[in-house]
Amino acid sequence: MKFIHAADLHLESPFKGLKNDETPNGLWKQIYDSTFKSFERIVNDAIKYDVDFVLLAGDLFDRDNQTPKTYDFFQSQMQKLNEKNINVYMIYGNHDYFDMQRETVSFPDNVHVFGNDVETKTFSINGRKIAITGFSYANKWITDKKIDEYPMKNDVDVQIGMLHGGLEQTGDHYAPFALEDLISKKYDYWALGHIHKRQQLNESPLVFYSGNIQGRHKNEPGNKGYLLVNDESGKMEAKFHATSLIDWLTLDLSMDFVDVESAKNHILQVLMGNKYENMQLISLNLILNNPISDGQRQDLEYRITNVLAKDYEQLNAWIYEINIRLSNDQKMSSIDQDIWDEAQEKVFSEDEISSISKSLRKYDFIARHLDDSKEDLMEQSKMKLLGGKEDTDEN
Amino acid sequence: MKINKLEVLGYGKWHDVSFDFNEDNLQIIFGNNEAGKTTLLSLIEGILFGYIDGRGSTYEQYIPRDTKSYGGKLTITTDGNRHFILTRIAGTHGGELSIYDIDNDMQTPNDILEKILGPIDRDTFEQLFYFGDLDIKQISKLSKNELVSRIQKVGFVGSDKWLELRDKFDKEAKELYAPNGRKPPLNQKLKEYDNLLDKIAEKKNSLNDYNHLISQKNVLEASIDQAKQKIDELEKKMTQLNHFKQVWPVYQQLSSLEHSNFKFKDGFSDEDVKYFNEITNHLFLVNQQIDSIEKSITQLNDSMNNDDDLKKFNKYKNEIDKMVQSFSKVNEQINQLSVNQSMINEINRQDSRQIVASRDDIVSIEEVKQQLIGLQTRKQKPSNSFSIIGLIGVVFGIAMLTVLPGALKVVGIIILLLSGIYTGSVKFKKNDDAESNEKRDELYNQLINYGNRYSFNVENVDDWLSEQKYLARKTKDNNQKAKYEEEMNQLNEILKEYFAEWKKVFSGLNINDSFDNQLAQIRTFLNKMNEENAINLRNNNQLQNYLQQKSSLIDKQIQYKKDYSEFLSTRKVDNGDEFKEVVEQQRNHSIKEAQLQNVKNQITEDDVKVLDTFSDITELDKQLNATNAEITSAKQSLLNASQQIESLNIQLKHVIADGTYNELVQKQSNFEAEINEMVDQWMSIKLANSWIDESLNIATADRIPLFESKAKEFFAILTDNRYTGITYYKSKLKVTRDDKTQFDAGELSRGTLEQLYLALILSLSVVFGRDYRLPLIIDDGLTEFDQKRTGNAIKLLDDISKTMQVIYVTCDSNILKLVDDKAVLNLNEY
Repeated sequence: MKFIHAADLHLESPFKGLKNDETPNGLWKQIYDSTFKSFERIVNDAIKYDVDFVLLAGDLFDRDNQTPKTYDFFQSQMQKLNEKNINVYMIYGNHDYFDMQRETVSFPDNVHVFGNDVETKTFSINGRKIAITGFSYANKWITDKKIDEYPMKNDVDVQIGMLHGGLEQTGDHYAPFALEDLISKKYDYWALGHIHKRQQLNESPLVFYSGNIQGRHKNEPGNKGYLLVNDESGKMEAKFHATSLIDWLTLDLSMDFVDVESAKNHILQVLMGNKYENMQLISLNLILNNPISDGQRQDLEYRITNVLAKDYEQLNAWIYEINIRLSNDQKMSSIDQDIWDEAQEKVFSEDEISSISKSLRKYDFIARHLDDSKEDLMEQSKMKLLGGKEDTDEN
Repeated sequence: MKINKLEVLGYGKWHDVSFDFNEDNLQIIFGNNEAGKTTLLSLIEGILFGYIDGRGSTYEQYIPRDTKSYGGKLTITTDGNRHFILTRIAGTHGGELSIYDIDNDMQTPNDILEKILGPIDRDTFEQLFYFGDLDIKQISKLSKNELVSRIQKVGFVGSDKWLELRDKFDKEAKELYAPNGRKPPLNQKLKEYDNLLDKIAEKKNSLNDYNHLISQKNVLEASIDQAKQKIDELEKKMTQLNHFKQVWPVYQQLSSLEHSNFKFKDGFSDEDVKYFNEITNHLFLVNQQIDSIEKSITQLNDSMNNDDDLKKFNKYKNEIDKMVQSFSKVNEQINQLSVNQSMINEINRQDSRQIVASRDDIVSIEEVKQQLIGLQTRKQKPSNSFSIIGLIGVVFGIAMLTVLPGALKVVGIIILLLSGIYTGSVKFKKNDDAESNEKRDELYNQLINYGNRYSFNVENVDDWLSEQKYLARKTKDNNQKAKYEEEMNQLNEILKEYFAEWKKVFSGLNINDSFDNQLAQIRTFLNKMNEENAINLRNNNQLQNYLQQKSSLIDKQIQYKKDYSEFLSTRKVDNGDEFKEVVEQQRNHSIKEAQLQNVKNQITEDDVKVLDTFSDITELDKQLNATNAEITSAKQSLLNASQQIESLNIQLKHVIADGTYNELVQKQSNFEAEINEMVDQWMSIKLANSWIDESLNIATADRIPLFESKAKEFFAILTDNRYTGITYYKSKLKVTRDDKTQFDAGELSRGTLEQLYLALILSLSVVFGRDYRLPLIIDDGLTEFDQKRTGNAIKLLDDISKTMQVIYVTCDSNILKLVDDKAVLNLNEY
């Protein structure tokens, strides 16, 4: 028996953190297509490896951002599998929740969607009785321990659990479960969805988050894809296959800043040396020993953008942001550092940040961003002060 | 730390020159403008903290143009009373530093400088100990309020610079974003973002459109399925109805055929018919034969000669036979009659013209003739010579008949007759022997000569001879004529009688005709009668034959008739027609039967059952038409639905292909990234400012009390003790006049404010410089002061110099009067 476990396709969901004006058009095209392409690769692999079935463990779409194109694409991929007689077992997750009582959607015959209540679908492969148990979200949130509704393995050769949700300790409201809950069901494989980072929770039985299939922002770094699960050796084995077209990467780089041009060259040298195989969207953390001015920072960004706009394909790298910070031994003042430190604590508090950004916080995305950016803002402010002071010194 | 000596190796306009500083802590450096005062201060700072490299830095202007060496030496005494020479020459990272320990007479590691300077770096030095020209002057440029606020923050090291930066940041922040503004880029970007969201919301409808289209499509597809099903059903029905219509005639036939109840009788089969026909045929033939025979009989009877002549003939058969026996005698009599007539006629003619030959000639002619006959009988005379003689006779006779007139014609006739007789009775013999031929020719010629002489033809020599005999006799008997006439009369009587006898039995005999003719008539009559009798005999035989045949045919006929009537009677029919009728009926029925079977094969019982429900074909037609109409309308609606689906598909394709939403959402995300970057920029500026403010607030609140007493003291010196107190309370600085009146800083005159500011910054330097006493350097800071205030300021500097070195740089010569000469370093003298 051979099957694919994939989840969190988030088809057509946008990439976060990229800037419009600077990103080259060709790269945009890749970005727009990336979730589709990645899924297409999964489907093609399903056909290539002649798997028995495909499991899709929820969050196939972003319900808030779905378009006809997405539907059409998904349908056509399902049809492709249908033509090869490959069955698809899918559940809806918190992003593509689907209330079966109020809505209907039709898929090709090979697609088996689990209902809003836990249900088990049973079938045979080469005389072996296979059961798959799962459910689909009807709403955005599920606080119940749905896992309690999953039956024990019973009278089948292989039982697989599909579940979209998070471990209890993460404290969220997405069908929480404990690892022991899963293990206690005596299933042979757990295909989890919801967490975008690929991870194995247990060895026997295998409990896996396959992760999403294409990173969409800096917090979804590295290659992404699906798990090819195989029990032909007599033991259930899961092997990761990367399908993502574009990977996110955070790159820390310490350097002495002498001037903009040499800094740029140094950065490009590093990119060249890394020889990326997949396209990398890079957030560059540049750690400097001495402050540079705003003007220099901008100059550096422009120069790097200009070079990469031409060479990003060759380097397989695009730097979408540069965060410049000072190494830790950089002080605001030799005499008044205690005052600066005291003031810093006061100023870089949530209250203060909120109060300053009050007029901007009506925008959710800004508020969210600012809430996560205390350290960054501090670094930036520091750089501003030190860099700015230097500027005024020279005048 | 105190500076004792400055040696310039090469710096700006100065090179290879050394300046010894005053032993006391107050050092006045005097020089006209452009004398190189600031250059020296810069060198001091450079030696202490390093030259700043890089383009555009202020130090660049001091790199000497003509000497190789750049830099200088500073001889210092530390607070711990140690002596060092700091040498800094050109080099990387601020220049190459070397330190010489004078006390130990040795080079010492550079880190000793860090110990000497302590936490004081260039920034701190500049903020705490170095009051450059610009700093003081700037104070004078500030508005009173600004000055007040600056004074408030004096407690913080380098506060003026931070404040300056803060002002700059404030401006930058406002240029980037204003919470209630519209024009700054971030405000605009947010506005664009809002618009984008609207657009996205609008575009989101495309999904609704899509869903709407899909549901429409589903409905249409369902209706198409329905329509197809309906059409299927209708077409099935149609096929059935058409089938019914097709079998309707069959059905009709069936119903008509099925109603007749017919019983077949034996004896009317084809075999029977055949037999019947045979009998009928036989009968017919027999009848026909009988008819034909009867006809023949009638014909035969008709053709039987049964006239009176024949009856008479047969009646008088014996008599006639007797009369017939007399024919030759009668003939002779008739000939005699004619001979007699001829004789009479000859006699009558000869009486006039007949030549009588001599007796001798006749004898010799006879002789010749006898010889000739003798010759000819010896040799059988061929028929041709006979013919020739006959022919010559005939020709001669005819020639005579035509040539000779009247009586001579009789001669011709006679010749003809003779020749005929000759032909009939005499046969010449001809001798082929040449000798006999010769003799014959000779004889013949003699005969011809005689002929020519007596005008007779050789051939007719006999006739001629008999004539001559006759003529001889006649001549002998002149009564002959009467005798002939007598005989003739007798003969005529006999003959008339004879023929009269014939007339009795042969009524048709024309007794007026010549005897010859009468005789000929009789002969003809006899022949005819005999012939008729022969025919009648023959016919009679035939008739007997026929009658026999007829009787046998009639026997047959009777048999056939018997068979025929028996045939009919066994079938209980009266006649053949009736039989045929029955046969015809039966045949028709068997055809019908076959048809019925055929019809039954063409139609199922189920069909029949259904067809039974239709009253007639029109009802069926009606249903057909109705169904057809239904199909047409169903097909039309199917077509309509298909067309609608087509157009839906096109719309769907369009909606699907529209990547705008996708792009817009990505754009939204990009906008967010860009906005967040700008927000970060703005926030970091705002936060930096807050940070500065907060730091200054902390500093002033915490520190002003620390140097309050010093400031009070300095302020009193500067104001000739007019102001005796400075208090800092709740972020507000207040001063107390000698009359105990308290003023807010804002209430002071500008001059007094400047004095307050100077008192504060100098007290700050003194208080904070306590631990790290670096020389306090003031570059022309008192130029704005009047003489009295300047005097007070110098007094203050002198006072301060009791605890730390004070280097005052000025181009004001008046100051020189206020201090000891030894404290003055006059650059004009170098």
